[in-house]
Amino acid sequence: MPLHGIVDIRGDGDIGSTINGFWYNEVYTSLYKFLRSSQAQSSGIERVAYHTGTQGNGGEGYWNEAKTTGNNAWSCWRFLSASTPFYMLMQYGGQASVAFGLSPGLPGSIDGGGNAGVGFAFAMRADGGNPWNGTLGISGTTGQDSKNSPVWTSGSSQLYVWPRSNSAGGSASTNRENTMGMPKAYSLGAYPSLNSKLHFVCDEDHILVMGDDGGDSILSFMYFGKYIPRSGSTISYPYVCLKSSAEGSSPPFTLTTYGPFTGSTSINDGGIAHPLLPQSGTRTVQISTYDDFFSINYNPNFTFAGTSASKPPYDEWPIFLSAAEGPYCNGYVGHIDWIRFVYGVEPMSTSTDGNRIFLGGATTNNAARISLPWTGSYMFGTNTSRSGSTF
Amino acid sequence: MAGIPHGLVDMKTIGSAGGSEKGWEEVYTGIIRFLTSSQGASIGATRVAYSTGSSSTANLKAVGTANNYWDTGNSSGNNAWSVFKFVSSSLPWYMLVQWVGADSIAVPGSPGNISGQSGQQGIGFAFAVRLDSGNPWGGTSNNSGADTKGTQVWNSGSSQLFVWPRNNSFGGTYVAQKQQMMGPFGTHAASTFYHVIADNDNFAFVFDDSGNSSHTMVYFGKYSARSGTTPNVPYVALYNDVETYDPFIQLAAYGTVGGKDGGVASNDSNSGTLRVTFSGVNEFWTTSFQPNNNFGAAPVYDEFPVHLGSDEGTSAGYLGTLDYGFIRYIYNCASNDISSDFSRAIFGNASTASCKVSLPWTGLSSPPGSNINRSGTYF
Repeated sequence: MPLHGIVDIRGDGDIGSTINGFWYNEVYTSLYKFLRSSQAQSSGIERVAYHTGTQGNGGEGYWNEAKTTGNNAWSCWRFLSASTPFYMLMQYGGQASVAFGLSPGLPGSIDGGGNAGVGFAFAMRADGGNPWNGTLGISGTTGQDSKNSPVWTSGSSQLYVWPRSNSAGGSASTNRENTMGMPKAYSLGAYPSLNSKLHFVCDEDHILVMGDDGGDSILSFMYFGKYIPRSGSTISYPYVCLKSSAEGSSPPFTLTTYGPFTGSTSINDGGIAHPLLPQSGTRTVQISTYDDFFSINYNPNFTFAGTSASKPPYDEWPIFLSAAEGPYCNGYVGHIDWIRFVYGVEPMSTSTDGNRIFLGGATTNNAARISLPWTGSYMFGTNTSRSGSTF
Repeated sequence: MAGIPHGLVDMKTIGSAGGSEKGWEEVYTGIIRFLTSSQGASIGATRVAYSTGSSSTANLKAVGTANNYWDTGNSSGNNAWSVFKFVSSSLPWYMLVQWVGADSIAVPGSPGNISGQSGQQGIGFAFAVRLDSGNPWGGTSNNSGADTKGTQVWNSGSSQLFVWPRNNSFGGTYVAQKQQMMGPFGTHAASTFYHVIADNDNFAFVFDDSGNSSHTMVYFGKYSARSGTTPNVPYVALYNDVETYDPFIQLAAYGTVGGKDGGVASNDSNSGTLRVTFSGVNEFWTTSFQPNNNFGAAPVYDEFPVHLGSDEGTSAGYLGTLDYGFIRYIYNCASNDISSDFSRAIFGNASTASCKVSLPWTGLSSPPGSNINRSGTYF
């Protein structure tokens, strides 16, 4: 499936001026523009509802353009070409210390609170129907749609929502209003560091969002997308979300659980669709891999090439998933293959054929990273600006 | 997994009442009985050389074919050994098995060494492969019970030689004579349970000293290579020397003398074997995740592949997985349990909440240890 995305979005509004939270406006607006682009549309992405927010003037531009988005602007997107169509809500708040989740972004929270940042949530219905519970303005809209309570609804089907705190037993299960901040949620009045960036890469079934607080190329990650089910099992909705705000950890998704009930300022959030119908909802997920091989002793792999090889291969490792909620949703369910773990490669380098790029982890080579499908035609950092680079 | 697995299982020593060495003779005899049986023949086990052992020890004199227990006719004597070729494997491999009693390692079993011990009783295994499929056995091959070992137990001929345990290979302590074997040694308990399970490509000797449901194991077999690679000699061996490892095949390096032993064939232009290490999805090895209750009312135990990599110096890296059809990791099953279709049995630490391995089983409803006697059960 073709890969598309927007990378190197840098919040220029903070450069050379008093930090004011325009970073949120610029990152949100650039993502919005990408999602409206022909590249995104070719992946089946379409807008189903949106609001241009307050402190703006009813537009879809940057803060210093004629028609701008404002605080608590939000937009809901359908990934129509996915195996099971899923929906993504994106919203920002915190510009000029206006909290996330106020009208017109009500109800809303980011990492469980009313702070600042760019937040993401995901939802899907078992019947492929629309879980968005707000107004719909696919055609002829003016950016004045409204959210509803709850934000997502099951209709007559089963509902799966991310982060997990929006699901049964979660702190946001009533209104399903929580989102996950990327790179993270910030306190009101505390903004991302200068040169902070965001990257968004996707195909029909998968999304990887990368945060770079401070612009030092040490990344945090959020993955949403499909996984390959455990052999011998039938999983109708094999979708999972992993979000880690911990920049520079090795591996980038630490081998722990994702998707707390509270949805608070947890470093690790996400969840996994309950693997067994007719159960609805998402559950906490645990990840694992063959990390005993995460060592310079084994990477690169000289066993088939010998020490004289100029380019011995680097092994790539699946990210294995286990539902992690008792008593009836515990155990191995499958693995993610779209992104993988890789160890010992140079950060931001690509595979020899250019079809994979290696991201995250520590700045030293001796770290585990994310391997992501890649186009081979663009290198991170080539065109860093608030509008980023779209492909 | 290649071919139909067979075995001789649920064997129990009774000879320890007359001294531990008689128990070792029984273990050896049980292994030979399987390998020379019709089931052994069906996996391609073919004996190419053997010695009936020493005639110097009372009650353990080598007599006749040496396939019988110490208290019957035609038993084997101290330091009896046999070499088998596994002809049905895609690349034939050879196994030496030898037992040692009160005589320690001596003629006709010398040169020899079991897990670094030359003065201990025990049962030892060694394995060898030549790249050209030729015979690496360095001794005579008259196959009449009076064969002798060579000064070099294994040799390369005009080909490349791969030998297990690793210390018989280049840089190893026993590279000169390649006489090292791996296996349990010392004085074992009165009632020791043991099983031999094999197919065309794999061999496992599972040993339960004192019958307490904790096991050690000698394993040799073929691994499934990492995608995109074609190793010339995809064989690996291990001996885990402690019954209570968790996981049963530890996530550690194997190929040291007297401890976790074994090795894996090198894939570069050199011959020989290297230390080997193992890995698995150990974050899922908790009682929360096993059994797996995601998929309905009847929870299931997941079985996971055992991944391996070579673990030495400039030739280290991921290699692939042990033959999933033959050997798998499994967590939180009781030791000596069997699968619902009786086709797999679980071996490892007696503690239920531990990682073990599953191996092919009889297809009968009797789990390991439930129908145990000296002669065992063929399947």
